[in-house]
Amino acid sequence: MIAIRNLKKSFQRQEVLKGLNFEVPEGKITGIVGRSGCGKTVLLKHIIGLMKPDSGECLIAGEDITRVNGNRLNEIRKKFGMLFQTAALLDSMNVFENVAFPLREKTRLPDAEIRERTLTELKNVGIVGMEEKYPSQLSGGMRKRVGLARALIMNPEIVLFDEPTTGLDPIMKKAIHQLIFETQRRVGCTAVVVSHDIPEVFEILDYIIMLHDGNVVEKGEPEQLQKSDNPIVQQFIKGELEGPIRIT
Amino acid sequence: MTWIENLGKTVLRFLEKLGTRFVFLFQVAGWIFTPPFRPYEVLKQIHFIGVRSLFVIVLTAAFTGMVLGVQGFYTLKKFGSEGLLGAAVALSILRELGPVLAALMVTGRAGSAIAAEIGIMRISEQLDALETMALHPIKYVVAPKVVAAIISIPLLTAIFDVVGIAGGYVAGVSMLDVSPAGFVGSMHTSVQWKDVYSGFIKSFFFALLISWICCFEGYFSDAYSGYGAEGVSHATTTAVVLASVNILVWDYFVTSVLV
Repeated sequence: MIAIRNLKKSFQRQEVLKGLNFEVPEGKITGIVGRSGCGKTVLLKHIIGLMKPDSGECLIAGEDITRVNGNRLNEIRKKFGMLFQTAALLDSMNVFENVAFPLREKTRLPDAEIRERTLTELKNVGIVGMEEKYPSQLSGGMRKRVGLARALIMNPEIVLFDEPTTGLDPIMKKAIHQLIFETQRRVGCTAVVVSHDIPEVFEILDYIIMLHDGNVVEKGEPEQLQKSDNPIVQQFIKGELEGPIRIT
Repeated sequence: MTWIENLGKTVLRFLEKLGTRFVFLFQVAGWIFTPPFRPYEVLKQIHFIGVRSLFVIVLTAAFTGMVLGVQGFYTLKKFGSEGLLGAAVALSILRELGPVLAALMVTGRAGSAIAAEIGIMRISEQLDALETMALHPIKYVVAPKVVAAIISIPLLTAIFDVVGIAGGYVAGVSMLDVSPAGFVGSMHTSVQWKDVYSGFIKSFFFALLISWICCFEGYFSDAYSGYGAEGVSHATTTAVVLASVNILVWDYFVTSVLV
């Protein structure tokens, strides 16, 4: 479903992605892990076509999203749902309007059906009775849930999660991880979770890709990663100060 | 060599930004005429830019007209031409002060808010979120604001003209004993239809300038103004200063063509 080929990206002479190569397994939850600032979010933005690479390809169902524009790009984007780090809810709209927004703008469904689907999606993520509230009146965890409902409302084939648990307390982190797991198993989509919540996030992942210094240093199932003899992987998983990863 | 490099970089950056500005303008123009249209969003923006600027426009117009009445009377009296006060007030407001002051007031009140709103949407990833939903942010956020500005600002100018002339009348007739018939009569004789519509042509250009500059600065706040809250603050200031200066500069050019 998603294949990355020799993807490179620099910002003002700083190489963030140095030629990434990997494939994301279809219908599973794939985690992209690595230290803060290692290029995880930049990679995610390339996958959904929000950024253009210096070179390389991002193949979505065989089509390179980095080389298309306009209507074709929008057609490919219809396969996606995305939960942003900050949830990125439209702050002038209430919870209901935020979740219903893609249906209202991209379909011609009758109001009654839009209402029913929106309330069902909100219920699926555990938001009930808060439809009239605005994003600024919600807690961080609730905002993420609403963002997830909005990401799922169009039944996407691929859902991207950009650090879905950043800034949340441990209980809410667990709840969001559980929600991602249950949602993926329910709808069967391909999920890509960018995170540095180690080792908590391992519980929900089927496959992991670890980035370091703009390169893929390890990929495989969570057990493989935990048993890896790569000192970079081990230092990262154990959160040790001493090792090949230098703190800058 | 360093100063030449710096100069080159500055010139290239200026040209790049100028090019991006025009590409942005063409994109906005394209999206305005691309269905589906969003009349409700345009109405919302007309309320924000037009209706909510009404108080400041009426207040500014009334006092501008009154000052013109007093100053005009003082100047014309020296030549024994107080009877031409109506014409002086009306021509000044219709041709020049109405469109320019209304545009400057809208820039300060609504232009700054537009730049800040879009800038905040940029830094909080709301514009990116629209793109991931296969919705173009220029169509959904920028185009309704530009259309609303093009509708609202000429209407605000019309209100400014009426209230400003009324202010001049109050100052001249009620306070300085100019005859009402003389005030209205001189206005009637001197003002031509061209004086009225040239003001509206100006206000159309100003509306385009204000909405284009303010939307652009907000939309690219992260690229050209810096990051986070400071970037939005800088973008808002740049938007207001640039729009105000451009109104005055373009006023000269449009006047030269229309005169």
